[in-house]
Amino acid sequence: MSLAWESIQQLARAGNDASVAAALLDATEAERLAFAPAVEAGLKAMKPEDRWQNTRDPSGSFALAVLGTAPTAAKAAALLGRRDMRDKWDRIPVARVIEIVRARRLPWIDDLGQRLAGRLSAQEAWSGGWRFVAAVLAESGGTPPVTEGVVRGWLAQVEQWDEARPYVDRLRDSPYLDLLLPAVFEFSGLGGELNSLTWDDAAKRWTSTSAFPAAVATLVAEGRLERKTILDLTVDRLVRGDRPAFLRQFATLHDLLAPGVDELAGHAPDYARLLPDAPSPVAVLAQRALRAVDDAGLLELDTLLETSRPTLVRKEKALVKAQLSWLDRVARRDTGRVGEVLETVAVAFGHPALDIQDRALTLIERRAAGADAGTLARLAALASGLGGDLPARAAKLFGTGTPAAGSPLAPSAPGSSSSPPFPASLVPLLPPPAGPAEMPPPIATTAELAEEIVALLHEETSVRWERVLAGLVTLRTADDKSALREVLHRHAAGFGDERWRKAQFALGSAIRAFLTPARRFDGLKAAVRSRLAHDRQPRLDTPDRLLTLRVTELAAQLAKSPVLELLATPTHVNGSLDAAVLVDRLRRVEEPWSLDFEQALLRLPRGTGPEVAAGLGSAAGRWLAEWLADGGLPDPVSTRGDQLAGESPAVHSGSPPEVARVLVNLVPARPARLSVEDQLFTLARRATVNHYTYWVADDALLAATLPHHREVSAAWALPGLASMATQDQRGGSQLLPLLAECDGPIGPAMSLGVAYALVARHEADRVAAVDAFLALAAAGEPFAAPVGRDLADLAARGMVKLGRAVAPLTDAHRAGASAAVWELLLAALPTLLPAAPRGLPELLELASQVAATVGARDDVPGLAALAGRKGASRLLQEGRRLRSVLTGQRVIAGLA
Amino acid sequence: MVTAAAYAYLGSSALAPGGGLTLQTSGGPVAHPRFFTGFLTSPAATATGLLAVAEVARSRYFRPLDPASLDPVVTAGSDRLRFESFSGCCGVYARLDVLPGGIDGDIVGHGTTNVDVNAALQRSLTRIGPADPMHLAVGPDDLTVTTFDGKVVERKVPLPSRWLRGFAEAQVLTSRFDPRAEIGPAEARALLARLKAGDRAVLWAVPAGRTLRVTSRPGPGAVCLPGAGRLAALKPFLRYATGLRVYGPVVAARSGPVASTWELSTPSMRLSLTLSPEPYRGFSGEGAVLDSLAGDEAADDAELIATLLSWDPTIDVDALSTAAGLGATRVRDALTQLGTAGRVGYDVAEAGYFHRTLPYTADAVAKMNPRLTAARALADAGAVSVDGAVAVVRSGDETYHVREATSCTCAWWGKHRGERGPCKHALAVRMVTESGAAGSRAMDLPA
Repeated sequence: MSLAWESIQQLARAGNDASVAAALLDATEAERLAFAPAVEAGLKAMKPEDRWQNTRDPSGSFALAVLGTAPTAAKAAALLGRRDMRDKWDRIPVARVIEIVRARRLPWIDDLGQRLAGRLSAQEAWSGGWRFVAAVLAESGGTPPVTEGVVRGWLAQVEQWDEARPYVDRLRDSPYLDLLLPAVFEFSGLGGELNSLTWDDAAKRWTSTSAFPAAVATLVAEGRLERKTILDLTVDRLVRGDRPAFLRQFATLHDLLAPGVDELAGHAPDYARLLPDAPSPVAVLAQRALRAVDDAGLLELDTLLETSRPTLVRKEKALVKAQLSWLDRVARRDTGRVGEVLETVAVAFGHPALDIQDRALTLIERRAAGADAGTLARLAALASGLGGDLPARAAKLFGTGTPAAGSPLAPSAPGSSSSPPFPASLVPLLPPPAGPAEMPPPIATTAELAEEIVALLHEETSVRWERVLAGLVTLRTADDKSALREVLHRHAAGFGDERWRKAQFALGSAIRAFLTPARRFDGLKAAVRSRLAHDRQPRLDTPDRLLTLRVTELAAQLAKSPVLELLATPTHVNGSLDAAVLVDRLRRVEEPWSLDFEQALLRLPRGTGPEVAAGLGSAAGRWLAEWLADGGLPDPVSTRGDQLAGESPAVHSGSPPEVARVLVNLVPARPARLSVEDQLFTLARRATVNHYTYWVADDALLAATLPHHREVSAAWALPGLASMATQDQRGGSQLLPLLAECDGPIGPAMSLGVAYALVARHEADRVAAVDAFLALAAAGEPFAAPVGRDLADLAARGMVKLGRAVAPLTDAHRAGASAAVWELLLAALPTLLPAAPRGLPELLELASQVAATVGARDDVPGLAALAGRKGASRLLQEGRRLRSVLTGQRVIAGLA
Repeated sequence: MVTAAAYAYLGSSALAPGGGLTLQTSGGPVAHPRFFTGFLTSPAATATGLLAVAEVARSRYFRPLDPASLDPVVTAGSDRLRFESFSGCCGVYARLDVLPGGIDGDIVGHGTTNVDVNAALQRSLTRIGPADPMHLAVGPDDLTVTTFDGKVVERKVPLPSRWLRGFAEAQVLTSRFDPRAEIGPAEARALLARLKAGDRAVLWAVPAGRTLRVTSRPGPGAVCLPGAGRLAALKPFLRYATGLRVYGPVVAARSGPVASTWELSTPSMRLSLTLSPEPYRGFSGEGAVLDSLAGDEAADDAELIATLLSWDPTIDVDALSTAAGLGATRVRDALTQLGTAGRVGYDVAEAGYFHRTLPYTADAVAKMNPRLTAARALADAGAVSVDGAVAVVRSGDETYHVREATSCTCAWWGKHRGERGPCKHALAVRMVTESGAAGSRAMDLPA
């Protein structure tokens, strides 16, 4: 029987490996070699669909054809390594492969094994290609090259194959154990392969404990693996470092090996390197090891002190406390060098946590008697870094003067901070608010207009939109509009989506109107269109939709009733419009477009007097004067409202709180004068959370629609701001710094918005919250107390995680807004103290630092009772500390 | 385009049990140059810095697939050693400058070469304690080279052209940096401790009192903190550092992300990392060099300047200007051009270029910048018609309008707005306006 590609292909597609193998085995070697070019040509001619249109992928059978005919190892490896073959080696029937290579008695089988092993990819190890390669290697008796792909493939096979047998048996029986196991330690990133779940046969369930460390430890105990080699490899892996998750199993293995004190002593320099820098679990391991070495008297004191310094400022408090108590023992034991030990301990004065500083100071207080005068002087100098109530204690200990207490609480307004309560070098002063920047100059040419439109399609910003709209109006009479025509043509798709990109769609119409010279019936057509549009009652779902309506208006009116310029184009990037500029424009534009005029009015600064509009003769001008005389746009009434968890998935572990979040509703303060006013100023949130509809508008567009009524913008955006804290959403708080630079009273929506952002899940959002906090503080806004009350309310009712607020508030304190931070804390603590949510001790610790900085002497309701309670919990300790800072006396438990 | 870098070392770099560190070299002025023999005055700190440089060399910070494996390079100037590396993702550039105070010995040769930093060496480098001065040899001694009959350690790794271009481009980008802030070691530790390893957000930092405050928005004096997780390699060096200095370009409110340099220093060495503007952006696409490559004059000047470069710590522009008889501006342009060809590096701490020729053939690659090639094709095809301030470029069926040879109506410019250099249309316009109708003849770089 001769071989034919058609019949092989047919059998392969039918999934008939046996017949493919039989056909190859029946042929003579000469026939097989003669068939090789046909196989190669056939494979190369195949299209992707030839493979997936079958019920069964024919790749495995084709691999048999390759192995059954290839003249050289290089040719076979090249064909099997083709893009469409190389990820499918797991589908090759291994038993048939062995039949075929045995029948052919290939002299190059070892070469083939090497080549195939070299092609195993590290990323595709899980797909099982190694099983096929291992079979070929076993046939030749060769050893594979130690590459990452081979090692990963081997590990995957040991893990997946024959799962009924214990992992350790599979590992022990692998012929490649000695060759490949060391590489598991040597290649970086391989620890990731070891973290998979394992089947616990006794308990009949999956466990999250990896079988690898225990199996290796067992083989070491049995004597199958050499103990010293494995321990060296393990420590070496830890020292070279990797992602923490990838080191986990090696750390476990280290513990299971339970090195004796001699072994630990041999690796002491390694542990000394790990303790300050390694990921937390590894550092703990190193600390334990070094301490065992020290207990055996085998550790140099210099090594200990050298290692301790960077360790004492690590952020893991448990680790630092353990290091301090170790140093305490050393100070007691090694009385000759107690000074050096204490100076090392004093490094912990630089730790950000007050309880660590406290412990270090207590230790020094206890052992200071053994130190000489020079040491004490140096310790006293280091004590300048202490915070909270500790400087007073340090002053007593070292006999230096009591540190100057801060002056009484200073208001945060920059104007009144002529004498700062703290040295400028320590805490910076808040820079005065810069105010919103002016708008860039208007677009001057059609080429520039075209550029800006392309940029706008890529990314919408308020400034870009305003400049483009203004440009379309002012450049309408330009001669050369070809650049714009090209852009309209090129980005037809960008302007074509009426359903989802309404504003861009309208912009497309506007550009067409811009390009087309006015024709006879244009005015009539536009009038009809505008009438139709009006009949459809365009709804203003959200404030930023006003922009879309304005673009539509522009498209309709540009040809029909052209104006010289737009009225609403802001003078500042935050959307604000100078009244004098508007009046100027009204002199040139007597019959403004209605939405353009309304948006212009919405953008006027608060408190603009009517006198600015005096002398305007047009109807619009008189309207403006009247509007201003009436006091402009009054703030709506905004009130907090709870939203129940209802439809939302549980946002908390444990029993979900009944109230999921607090939002704000708006009611207009008076009958509307403008057509859009009611829609902008009416907001009624539903009773339950609907997580499908929280809406995130473009921040700058929203802020620039109502630049002097930020409370309204915040109310609209509040679901998005809340979702950062309650639903772990990302990237919502960019709005807050913008609102901080806008104008208007701080109402419930503003204070809730800042409160939510301070406890946002993601750091970038909390950072933006700090920016807003600092800007509001620098502007002297009375915002901190309301934010504190809202934060306390949300945290006490379990809606947000209080602990997240500590870091951003610390940042704000360090950046110079200490007075505002204290104001916030003072408003928050009365609600928080009885509720005692998680994170309160850390917040109290911050309060101690801030209170000491601003020299606060306030009475915090509930604090005295807390400080007086018996016990030694962290909460009580920090409560006492704050009390002692506020009262100036050390508070002892049970004596308040 | 991917070529291959071939390394050939006379053995592996190793730390002898007696305490001597020998770094094996490959390529540069000769096959296995010897640059230095002498002592390191702070061996532990130098070892930690070298490990950080090696870590960057084998890392990919964006989409970590196969670890990169291009070796660090070392440059021996007149009085210092500089170890440099560039990450596999083309977004992080690391350099360890061992200053005169850090070495006690002889610089026996000048130039740049690859150094082998293998896994076994990394292992021994981590174990170096703060003990006595340690011996260092960069390169094998003459005797070893002449009598060598063992097996050369050879390695071939892919050398993507974007890696080479990025390495060169990072230099040019940093030449526009100024110092923005300097903070103490405790503050530096606190700042680096709060950065999470996987953090890819683009934040900013502004000086605030004794430390830097992280902020969400740029403003005057701010430095970009792009993908802060990429600074992790600095952490082990913190314990030796006496301060952290940060460098960056001028930014204003509403600036887009920019590159920045973070430098830890001790009295005798400086370890710096330069981060690309966003984790997914390699330096190769930043387009900072395209301007200087588009000129004709600069190419000739560069040729002249290249012959005059000394091995001084920084290149003295005024002295070069006198020696070459060119104005200072032209000398600077020529240096930029040499930078893109990998023939000078830039030291932000000294605010000056230094002589360093990458041991790769980089000249051809610099010319192969895709945007430049495309622009040259447009210019050659006569697609550019200049009329006043607005030029019209025809590319295929489309027509683009370029204003002031800078801004364009193409989508690429609309997306980047100059943050990544000029678009191909603007470059084509420059080529045509600068060299008249002759077009692209101007583009050849010095060989």
